[in-house]
Amino acid sequence: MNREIALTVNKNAVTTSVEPRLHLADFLRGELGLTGTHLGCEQGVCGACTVIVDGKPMRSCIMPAVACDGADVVTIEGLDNDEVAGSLREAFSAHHGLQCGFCTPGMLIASRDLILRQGDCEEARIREELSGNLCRCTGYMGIVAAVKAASAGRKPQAASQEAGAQQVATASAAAAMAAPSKAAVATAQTVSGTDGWTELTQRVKVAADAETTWRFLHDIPRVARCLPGAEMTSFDGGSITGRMVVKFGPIKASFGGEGTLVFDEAKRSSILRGAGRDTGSGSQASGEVIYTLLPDAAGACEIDIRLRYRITGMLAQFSRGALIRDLVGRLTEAFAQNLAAAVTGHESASAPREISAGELLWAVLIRRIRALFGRPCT
Amino acid sequence: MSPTSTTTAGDYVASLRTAQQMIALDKIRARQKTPEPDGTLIGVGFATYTEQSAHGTKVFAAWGLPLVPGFEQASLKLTPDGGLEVRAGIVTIGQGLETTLAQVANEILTIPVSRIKVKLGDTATTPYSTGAYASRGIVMAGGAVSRSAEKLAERIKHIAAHLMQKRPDEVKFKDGRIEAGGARLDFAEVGRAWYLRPETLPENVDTGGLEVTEGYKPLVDGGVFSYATHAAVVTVDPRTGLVKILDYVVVEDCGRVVNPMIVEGQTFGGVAQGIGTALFEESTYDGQGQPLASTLMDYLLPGPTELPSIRMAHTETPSPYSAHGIKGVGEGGAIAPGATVVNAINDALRSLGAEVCEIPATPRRVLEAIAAAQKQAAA
Amino acid sequence: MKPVAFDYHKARDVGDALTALGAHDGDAKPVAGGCSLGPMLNLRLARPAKLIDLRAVGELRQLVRAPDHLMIGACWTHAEIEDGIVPDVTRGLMRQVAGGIAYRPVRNRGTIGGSLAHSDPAADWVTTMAVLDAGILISGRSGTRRESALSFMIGAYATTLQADELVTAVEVPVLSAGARWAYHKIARKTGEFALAIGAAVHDPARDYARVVCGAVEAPPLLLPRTSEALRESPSAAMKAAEAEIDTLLSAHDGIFKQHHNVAIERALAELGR
Repeated sequence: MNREIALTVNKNAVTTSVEPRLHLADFLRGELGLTGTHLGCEQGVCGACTVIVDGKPMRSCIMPAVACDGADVVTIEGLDNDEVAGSLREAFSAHHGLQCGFCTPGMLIASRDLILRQGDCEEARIREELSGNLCRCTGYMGIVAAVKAASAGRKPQAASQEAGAQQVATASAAAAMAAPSKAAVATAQTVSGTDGWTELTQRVKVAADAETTWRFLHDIPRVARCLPGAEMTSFDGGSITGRMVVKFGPIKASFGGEGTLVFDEAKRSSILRGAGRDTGSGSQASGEVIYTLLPDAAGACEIDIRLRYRITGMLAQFSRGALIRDLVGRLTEAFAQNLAAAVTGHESASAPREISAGELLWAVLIRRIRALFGRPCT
Repeated sequence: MSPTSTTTAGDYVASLRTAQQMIALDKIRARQKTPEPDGTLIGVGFATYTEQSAHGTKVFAAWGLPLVPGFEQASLKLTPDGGLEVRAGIVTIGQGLETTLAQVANEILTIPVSRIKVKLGDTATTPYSTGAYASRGIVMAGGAVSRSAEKLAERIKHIAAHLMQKRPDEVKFKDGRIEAGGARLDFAEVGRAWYLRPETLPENVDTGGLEVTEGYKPLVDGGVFSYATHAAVVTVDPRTGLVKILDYVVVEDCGRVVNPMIVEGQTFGGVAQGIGTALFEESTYDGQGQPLASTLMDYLLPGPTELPSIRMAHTETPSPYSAHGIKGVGEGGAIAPGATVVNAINDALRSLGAEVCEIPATPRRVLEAIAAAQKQAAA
Repeated sequence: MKPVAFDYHKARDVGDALTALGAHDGDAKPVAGGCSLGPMLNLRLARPAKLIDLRAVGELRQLVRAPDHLMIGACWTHAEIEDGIVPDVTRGLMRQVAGGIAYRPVRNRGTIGGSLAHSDPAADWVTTMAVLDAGILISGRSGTRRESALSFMIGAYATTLQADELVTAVEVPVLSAGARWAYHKIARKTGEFALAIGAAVHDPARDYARVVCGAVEAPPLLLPRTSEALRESPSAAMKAAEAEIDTLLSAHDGIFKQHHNVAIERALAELGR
């Protein structure tokens, strides 16, 4: 759904309608023909797309144009008559500060801002301040020399002023989160990566005897409900179809797939294998869970859970992919706790539909205990 | 590669000695005798290399590559106003060929660079080329411009001699003008004669006129060899595995230097990429082949704070096989930093008995090397 | 790559933002600077139905000074903190940390509240707020609550924040005149995600000592024994730290632990200087 926006670009008023997903750089290049703004990575890393928004350099590739309603945008084309930009252009020519020119618009905008803020600059400061702008041609030699030359003898613009803080005390209400109490206790997990597979193990003590627990583990719909975000759509004794919704910060994936479940009655062990695909991100997940029942003393037992999983596609390839381990760790922890509670009839009436903060009560509690005592809760 | 008659055009020992002096090896060795106050280890490393540039037809054909370069061509035209147009199929990707090709033409015709228009890589208007790669641009296209300019010079001299009533062998070019035995003529007058006043041309004028297309290949297909020595001083933090480059010098020889600023620009950029290879850049995959460095947040490029201010010296050993003794320089800067930086790291780690044998030398690899050495020492 | 289509709402005030968030069954996403969300949108990892833009909400730009703390509205940017436009009640800690976040054009856009709500384990504010024992102020449709920075984050990208809640401000304790702090970050590149962060604050006048490991691929790790030892001296804290880190990070390999050990050791050394 298009939105009306009105903004100023290089001192010209622009009123138009944009799709919310259109980022500012594509708006400037595609809609306004201002191709001086370059797009390198579109991940906010390379700095080629840097433009001035309301007087400050920002990344135009990660900023929706719709969010610039009312903003004052200046691109490299708008700096033709700017005095500092003019001396930078001359210095970039004189010092061979560009070769292919791809990073140059971003470099000029970032270094102009540096000169306005800092005035005359030392080499180390220039290098530090331009660290958000990547160049592949010059080794930064000519760029640093040019900025140093253009900044020589200049004074910084008026120093920024501290905002006037209201001298008003605030009455902040500390609302305590209700923490549920449960009897089951989980052992600490270990995490290891092998060949793209990540393994987690988890042990959970159950306040029920092995026989009762083993029978419960055959009740697949109830077991499935213990896994936050899991939803079983069919089960015919050996094969399962279902869906698993996982929330990871702003990322939400919904893996639809199928699996098989095999019980080893003699060993009181079962293996669940499954694979699914998140159509949204095109990512695929496959994994297996092995539970083994370990009889304990007097009417209690332990469930040993071994989880192996592997994610392929965008979800595993983006830069913070390693953090998914933390998520799956919390997921397994919650599963183990829910399982232990459910065996003894303490499962919640409505199963959590996806893993997310509020629903992971146990994980929350454990983390809090950890924070309080500063060690893993065992 | 063992030096052959084609690679030996140069003084490699002198190159290494110059680098050794510039990096002040003696001072570094003295400094290494006392521990650094911040607990880091200091090391120095050198690497000398040759760069095969502008290797041609036989080499590529022998490699069985689909693309085999042949003759590089350039078209030169003297315009009616006395300016020069240079058209070549080679492409420019920021390496400054517009400038350096104009300089080559200027060398022969003396027409000022400001009056030379260079047009590159347009299949509609320029001769065919396989492109810019293998550090061949200035050697191949520069050679083509040179040969075209020589031929155009003969035609201009022939017309000019007739206009000035002199013998062609008396005609010389100097500072953008034509001279013969005290008489002077502007290039524009030759242009006007050919284009507008053909009745003033000599009877036996070359009907090809003031536009010439010539092709070029060096005397050898095996390439002309640039070379350089790089030296670096690094600190290694043995607790974190982080490496910092304190000083970096390059002693470079690309034969006849057409434009020092461009040679330095190409080299600095190459060194930056090479340092990226040495310390940062890595395409990682998991055991199943899934790429793990798919964004610039994972595939780290060095930024301005990760790179030193590079110091550079030039030596000039012209190639006997190319026009003007030029050798290619585009990629050379990136060849040596891996070896130079890792040699410096290993020099720093010598006291610990540790050695890094893999690039990029990430903090993890450095720490693993130290741990391996400690384990070996304990055993 | 370009983001998938989403709708957009520019919130007028906190109430309007909360209503808009609640109306989308968890598929609306609040956004301020968008420095973390933007790349995820472009990579199509995040596919929210609607963005609720908080940048025009005046309440999120409050600065309220109380005797013992400063309340900083969620939409103040890293650069405004770096430049001292937001008063620094932490005797320079917050200004130094702000100046080390990513790069200037990112700092000009990214906000303190957004960074905390996103909760990347390697993010600087997450660790800084934990070591300062700052409070996170949260508004939801059922009211407001305050949570300590340490308990707010529960995992990588996970906090106790509900889908229809907003971080509205942080309450940063005022450090006493004699307070000391140190913040040591180990990173391969300027502006890059940290390999390890060591943070320590010692404020004897307030009887406060805290040492925290940051960038542990999980919420910041409080070192209680080391913190206790810091009351005695930085060197006593250093003695306690190694064993404590080895125990608390036992699931990680030696190099991971070593980086964290060094970060803490150097932070404590700076604090003792």
